[in-house]
Amino acid sequence: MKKYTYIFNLLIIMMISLGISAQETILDENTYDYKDPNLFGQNRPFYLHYYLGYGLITPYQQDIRNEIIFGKSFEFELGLRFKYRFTNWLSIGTSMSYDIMNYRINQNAENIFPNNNYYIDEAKEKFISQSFSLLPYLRINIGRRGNKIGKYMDIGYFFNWSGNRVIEKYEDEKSELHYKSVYINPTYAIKNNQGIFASIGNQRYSIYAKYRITNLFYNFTDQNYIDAYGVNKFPELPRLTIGIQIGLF
Amino acid sequence: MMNQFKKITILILISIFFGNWVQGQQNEQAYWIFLSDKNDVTFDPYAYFDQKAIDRRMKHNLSLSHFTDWPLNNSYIQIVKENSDSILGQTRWFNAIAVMANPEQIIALQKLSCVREVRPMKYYAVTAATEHISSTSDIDNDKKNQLESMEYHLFQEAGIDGKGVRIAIFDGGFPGVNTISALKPIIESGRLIMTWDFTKNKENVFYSISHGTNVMSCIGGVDFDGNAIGMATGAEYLLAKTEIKREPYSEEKNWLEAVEWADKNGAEIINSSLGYTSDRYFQEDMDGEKSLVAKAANMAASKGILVVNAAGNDGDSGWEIIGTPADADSVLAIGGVSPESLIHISFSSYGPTATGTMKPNVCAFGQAYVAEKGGGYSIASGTSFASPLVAGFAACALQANPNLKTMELFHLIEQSGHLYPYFDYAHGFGIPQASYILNQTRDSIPFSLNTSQSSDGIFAEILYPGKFQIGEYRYLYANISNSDGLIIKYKVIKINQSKIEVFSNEELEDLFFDQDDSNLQVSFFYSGCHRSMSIQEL
Repeated sequence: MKKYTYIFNLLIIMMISLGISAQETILDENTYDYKDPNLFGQNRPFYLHYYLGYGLITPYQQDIRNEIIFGKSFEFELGLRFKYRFTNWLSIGTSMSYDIMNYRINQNAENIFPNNNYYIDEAKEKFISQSFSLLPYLRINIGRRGNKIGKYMDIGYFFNWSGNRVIEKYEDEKSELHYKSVYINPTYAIKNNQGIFASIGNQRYSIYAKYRITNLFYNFTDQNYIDAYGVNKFPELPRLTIGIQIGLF
Repeated sequence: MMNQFKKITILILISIFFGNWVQGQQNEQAYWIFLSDKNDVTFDPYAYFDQKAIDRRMKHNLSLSHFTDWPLNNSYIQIVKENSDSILGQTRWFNAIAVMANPEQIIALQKLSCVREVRPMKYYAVTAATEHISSTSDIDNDKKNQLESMEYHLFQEAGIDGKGVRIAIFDGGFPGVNTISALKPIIESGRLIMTWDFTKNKENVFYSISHGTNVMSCIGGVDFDGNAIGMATGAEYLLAKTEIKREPYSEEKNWLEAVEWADKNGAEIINSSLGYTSDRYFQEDMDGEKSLVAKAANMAASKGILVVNAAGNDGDSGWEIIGTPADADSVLAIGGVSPESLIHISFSSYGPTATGTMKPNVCAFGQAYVAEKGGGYSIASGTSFASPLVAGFAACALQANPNLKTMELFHLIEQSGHLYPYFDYAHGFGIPQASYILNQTRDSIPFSLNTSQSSDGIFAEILYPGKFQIGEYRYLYANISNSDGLIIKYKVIKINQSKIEVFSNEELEDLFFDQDDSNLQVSFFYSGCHRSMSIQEL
């Protein structure tokens, strides 16, 4: 009896498995409708893509009392870019991105930001600004092309809403002195800033420049700061960032 | 001091990038200068054409002295030369000169009375190859079946090997063609008639990328044992190097010059495995009219040459559809199928053209056994290799039917497709079959399909042969077309039971919603049987 039950069960399993694989669609296509071309595409009316950016904050116009270390001061961004095409050569759009600006402060003798403690090489001081950025832009495309981004030049204006942090780190093996302090949203740092943007690119790659127009620091309200540093506010950090962006498409 | 150095470095880097970018926009570009007429030129067809080209024209009842074959007016060439930076080439067929010129020169050229039109040159072609696979477990099967899928043994038994047919191959390079054993029979018997490198204007084409070597082996090569891996082992060959990997502008010019060269030298079939797609065009531009190479390919057909072109490898990319010149209506566009299933291989570009013309026309293996430049063999993927397999087939078909004119041959090859008269935009009419070429009849197959529609969708019931063995699978092809004859949806279903759901009601509702057309037709193909009916008849 057991033997028949086994065979019966086996038959049921076989029938089920055959039933499951009785038909399999291996090609299923809808014909592209040429009379109603796609609205979305690299050179169609609408286009949306992610991008990554990495730039170096340049020492251009920097103040010796608040110098950055070039090469270690950078911007990183991850964003979403929207483009609306007016014509083959003119588009407008908006980028939205998450930005990190990392200013690595040079420890020279004149340095007064974020304090005037002079630790020579052992100290690491950073001003980090993490922000949500909105960047409306105008794009001029150059050259005839099909459904491709092609060569272009962008000019735009950015608005940043930031959260700021100042990090001081000191390690000295000889004296066994170690400390790290983090100041979140220091009162002297301005949270919102703006600037101009320009880039030139070809397909997914572009080189960009951002120039911050607004200041990073308020005037001191605390007389102790004024007395300690001999200035009304911290000198501005450099404003110009140059880097590359890579479109993820 | 250090800071100063950094600032200068940054400025220099920016200047270089920006300078190059701007320079790229302002400098000279390549243009076609179309001339107004060919007044005062002389032309001797017997001095210009190869005897085979003259024979072909006579077969097609074409004039030996057609306007499009006349040379360009020398004085016009001189004037254009004086008003441009350099001359890149010329085309008799279109009465045009390719030049490099800056914007000021172009304005001056447009004002000349001998200039009819100035058009920027298109560029960036891509070869329709994807990758090389060094080995697969089924390599021997692939080798055997790439020809047998087209019933090669029937040509072989009839002693047909493309003898006397002249084939021109346009490609990126042919290294090893003159040395490898796979092509030795062609070289040793003097059937490599002529070569020309249009990228450097010299005779040697046996260098650069080996794509052309792979392609040629799929037309007329043999394996280590002397067995054919392409059907046209007895054909004659013209080799034109027309492509440089990614050099702007030149390839379109080279293709146009090569097609005239092939015509002049008596080619009856051209195999081209390149296509222009999204760099310069939108999908809706693939209408067989917009690009100069499509026009040239159609003109080649009108002069009696069968142009066989790869459909392209964009089936699984954002572009999806065929490129140009595969979009030209007189070009035999070749799609790729998987060697295992004989069903569309994922990368093979889909049709139709932007005007709704069916493409691809037929298909062949999209993964083929090819000869390598070093003397070995490998499996290569791409419709680049489907195209030469069919070019070899076409040479055999022409040898078997020498009186056929080009478009008759074109339609005969379509009719020989294993799906004919069924077609879709992935397979065209299917894989060409030698039996039809030789007999021009098809075996009568008993009616085997019953169809019905219910509230769940459209069903097909296989009546004969409807009995399936356990583990046995067959393929049902089905499509729905609108009243303009345009297929709007198509499928291939792998089945192992008699009754199957082909289109669900949801799919039909979507189609009716999109089409607003009550005259939809449903077509089925199964095991040699084709049936087509109005959706209301179901």
